[in-house]
Amino acid sequence: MIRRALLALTCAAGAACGDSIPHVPPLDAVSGDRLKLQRLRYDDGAEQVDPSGFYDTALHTRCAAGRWTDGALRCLPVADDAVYTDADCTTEVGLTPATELADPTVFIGHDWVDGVRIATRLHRAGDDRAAITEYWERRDGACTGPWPAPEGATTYELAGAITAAELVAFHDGEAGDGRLGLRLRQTDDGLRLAIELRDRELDVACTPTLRSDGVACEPSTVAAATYFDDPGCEQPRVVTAEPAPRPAIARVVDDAGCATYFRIGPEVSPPSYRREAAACVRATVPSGARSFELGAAVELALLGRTVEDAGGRRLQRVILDDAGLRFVGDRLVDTATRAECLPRLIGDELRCVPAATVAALTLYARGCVAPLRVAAVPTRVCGERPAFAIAVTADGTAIHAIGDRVDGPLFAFDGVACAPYVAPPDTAVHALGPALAPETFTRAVAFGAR
Amino acid sequence: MRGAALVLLGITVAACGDGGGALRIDHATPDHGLLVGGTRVVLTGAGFAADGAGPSRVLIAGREAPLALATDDATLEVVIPPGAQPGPAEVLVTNRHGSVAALGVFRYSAPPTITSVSPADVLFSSTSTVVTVTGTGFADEDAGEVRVLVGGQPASEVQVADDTLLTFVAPPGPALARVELQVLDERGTATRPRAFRYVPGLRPGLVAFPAWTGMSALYFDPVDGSVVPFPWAFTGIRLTSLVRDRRGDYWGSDRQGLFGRLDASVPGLERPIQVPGWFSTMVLAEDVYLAIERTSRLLGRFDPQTGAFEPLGSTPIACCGSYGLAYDGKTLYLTSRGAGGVVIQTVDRATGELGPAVPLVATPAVHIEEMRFFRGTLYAWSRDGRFLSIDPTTGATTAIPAPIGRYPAMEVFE
Repeated sequence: MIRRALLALTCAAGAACGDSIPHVPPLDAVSGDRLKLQRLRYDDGAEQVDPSGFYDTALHTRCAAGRWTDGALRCLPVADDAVYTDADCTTEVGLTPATELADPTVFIGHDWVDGVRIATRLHRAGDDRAAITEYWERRDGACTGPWPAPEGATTYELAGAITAAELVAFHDGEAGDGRLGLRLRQTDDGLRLAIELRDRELDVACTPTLRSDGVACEPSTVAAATYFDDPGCEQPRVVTAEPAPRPAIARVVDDAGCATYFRIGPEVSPPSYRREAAACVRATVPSGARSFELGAAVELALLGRTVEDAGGRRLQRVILDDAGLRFVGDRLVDTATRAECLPRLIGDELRCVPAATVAALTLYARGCVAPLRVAAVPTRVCGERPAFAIAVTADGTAIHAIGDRVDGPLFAFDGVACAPYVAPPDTAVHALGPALAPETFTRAVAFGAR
Repeated sequence: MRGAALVLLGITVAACGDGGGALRIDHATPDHGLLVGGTRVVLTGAGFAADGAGPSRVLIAGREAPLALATDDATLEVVIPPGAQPGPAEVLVTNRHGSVAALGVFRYSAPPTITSVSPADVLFSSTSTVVTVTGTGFADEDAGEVRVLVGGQPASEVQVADDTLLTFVAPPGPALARVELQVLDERGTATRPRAFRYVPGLRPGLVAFPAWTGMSALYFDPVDGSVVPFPWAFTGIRLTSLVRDRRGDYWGSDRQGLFGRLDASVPGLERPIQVPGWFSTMVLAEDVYLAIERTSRLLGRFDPQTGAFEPLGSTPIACCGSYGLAYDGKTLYLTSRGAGGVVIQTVDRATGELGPAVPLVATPAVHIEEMRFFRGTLYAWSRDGRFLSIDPTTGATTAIPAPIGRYPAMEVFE
C-alpha cells in the first residue's frame, strides 16, 4: 500500500514541475490614485484583496460601495452618525460612540422613510464640543424626538457638507470575450476590482467552484430541485413558494455530491413527492406554491485553474482563465494542506483556514456525561473533502483535524434531555483530534494605502 | 527506543528530473501521536525545502497527513492523520526531490488500559472511598486530562500519579452492582466491565429482598445485629428466591419463572432464562443448585445455564404456602407448612428423601419464606414479616429485631 501511495504522491507532488504559467500577467485588482484597495498580507508574504471596502485618501475615511442620493454607485464613507440637536431638525452634530477610535473625519446623517433608514447627508468632522444628551431625527418628513444620546459618546461640530460629486463614483465594466464575463468595479482614478463572474450564455452570475471534474462556474442563484414528479422519486422538480418569481436555473445534487443544473421547464400541477429517509412520500407543499418540471440540462462553463508557484510561499494565488481571460481568483491555496483557504478570525487574528471545513460538535457517550469531540462529515463531497473542523465555543474558535469515523451510539444533550444523536442525511460522524495551535495556519494582517 | 533517531528504511524515487538535495528523515518530535490523529509533529531531516523541493506530502502508515509544511530544509511540520492501530508507523515524505520512508521514528500511542482496580468492594453509600486504578496511558504521550466514569457517572477527585497509576473517589452507587469503569483521556478510552462491586455492608452478612417493588432491600450484619436498608428500585420484578454462586454473583428467580443474574447496574434480571414453573426457594449445596418448583411442589436440581429442572423423586412436598431451603455445609434443611403447622426437616440431597419433621416452636403466624445458615446460625424470614433464627434440631425460634416486611428472597452476603 505504501509503495502504491508513494507512486501516486510522487506524481502529485511533482505536478507543479510541469506547470508552465504563461507570462501574461493575470488581471488583478489595482488601487486608484485616490481610492485605495484594502488588503490582507499573510506572514509568508502572500497578499489578498479585501473586497469589502476601500480607503478614500481625499476624505481620509474607509468607504464601501453603495447607492447615494443621486442614484449613483459611489464609495460611501463608513462613518459615525450625524444627528440633529434641535426640534426643528436644522442643526447637526456628529456622535462618535465611546467604543470607536477618536479623530473621525466624516459623519453621515440618516432619515427614516417608510420604516427604512436611509443615508442622506455627509459632513466633514469639525472639533469636538460639549456632549449632547438628546437628539432628533427626521421620520417621513417630520422632525421627531428627543431621543437619548448614547452614553459616553463624543460630540463633534460639523465642518461643512460633502456633496455627491465629492464622492468617488464607480462604473462597472466587464472583461472577457468568451462565455464568461468578469464584472469589474472601476473608478476614474484607476481603481479596478473584479466583483463577480457572469455566464453570458445562461445570463446569470456564477461562482467558480472547484469540483472533482475541474473548476465549473456554478450559477449563483438557483432553485434547488428537491421534489419529484413521480412516486418513485426519479424525476426531480422544483417547487417554489409563492410569491417567488419563476426561477431560471434548477440545481440537482447527484449521488456523488456534485451539482448538475437544468433550465426550468413548464409549470406542472401537484402532486409532488419527496424523499424522507429511504422512502419516497407524497409531499405537502405550501398553499400557492408553484411547481416546475426540469428543462434541458445546462452545460456549465469550465475554467482553467493554475496555482501559482511563488517561491518560498506557503500560500499561493489561484489564476483562473476562460477564453483568454486570465484573472486572480479570490481564494488562496495553502500548499501545506493542499486546499483552498479563506481568511477567518481565529482568536483575535485572521488566519487562512481551509475553505472546506465542517462544524465541530460536542456529543456524548451514553448518559451524556462524557463529552466527545466529533463532526458530522458529508459522505458525498464533489470538491475538496474537508480535513478540518472548526469549533466555536465560549473559549473562542479552534481548529481540529478530522479523524476516523466513529462507530457506536452517540448522544446529544440539549440542556434538558440526553437523546440519541441522529446525524443529518448523507453525513457520518468522525472523531476529531485535539485543538491545533492557531499558528498552524498562516496569519494575516489588514493593510492598505492611506 | 524513545527519542531514537533510527531510520530503518530509506528510499529515494526521482521525481520530475530534479537533481536537488537528498531527502532524509532523522527523527520526529514528539516521536508519538494520538491514534485519533490531529496532533502536530515536527520531522527533522534534510531535503524538505531547499533547491526547489516544493511542497512536501507526508504519509504515515499509508494515510496522508492533512497538513505538511517545511519551515526550513531540515524541518517539516506535520499534522498527523488518524492511525489504524497503535505502535510504530512508517513515515513517508515525498517532494520534488523524491521520496523517503522511515520506520522507527514515529509511533501511534496506545489507548489507555486498566489492569487492576482496588478495592474490589465499595460501600454503596460512601462518598469518600478512594479507588486505585493501575494500567497504562494515564499521563504520558499527551494523555491530557483524564476523566473517570463509574457506571457512566463521573468520578470525582481524579488524581493521576503517573502513567500507570491513578486514584479517584467513587460516587455512591447501587448496592450489589458490579459497575463498569472507564478511563478517558486524549489517548482514548479504557473500559473494564465489572470493575468493582458496590456492597450494602463492609462485613459479611445477609441480604434480603422484598416481595414488592418500592420497598428497600435489607442488609443484616450478624456481628452487631444492625439492619441497613438499601435502595432496591427494580420495577416489574417480584423476586421469590435468590442464590449466590461460587464467584459471589447473585442469581434471582421471580414469580414469572424468570431466572437471571442480579446486578443493580442492570435494570431487571440480566439475560434471564425461563425455568419450568417458578422457584419459591433455591439453595446452592456443594455445587448443586436445588430448588422447589412451586407449581408441582417438587424438590429438584436445576441447571442455572439452561434452566432445566430435574426433580428428586416424585412426591410433592406438603401443601401449601411458602418453603425455605438452607444448607450448612453438611446437611440440607427444608421448612414447609402442612396441616400440622410449620416444620423443619432434613433432606437427602441425592434422593430428595425427607427426614423427621421437627415442628417449629413459634407463633401460628410464622410461615418461613426463606432461610440461610450464616456462621452456624440458621436465619429465616417469615411471611408474617418477622426475622428470626431457628434451631434446626429442636425447632426453637428466636425473634431478631428488624423492620417488619415480607422478604421472600434471602442470601448470604460476602
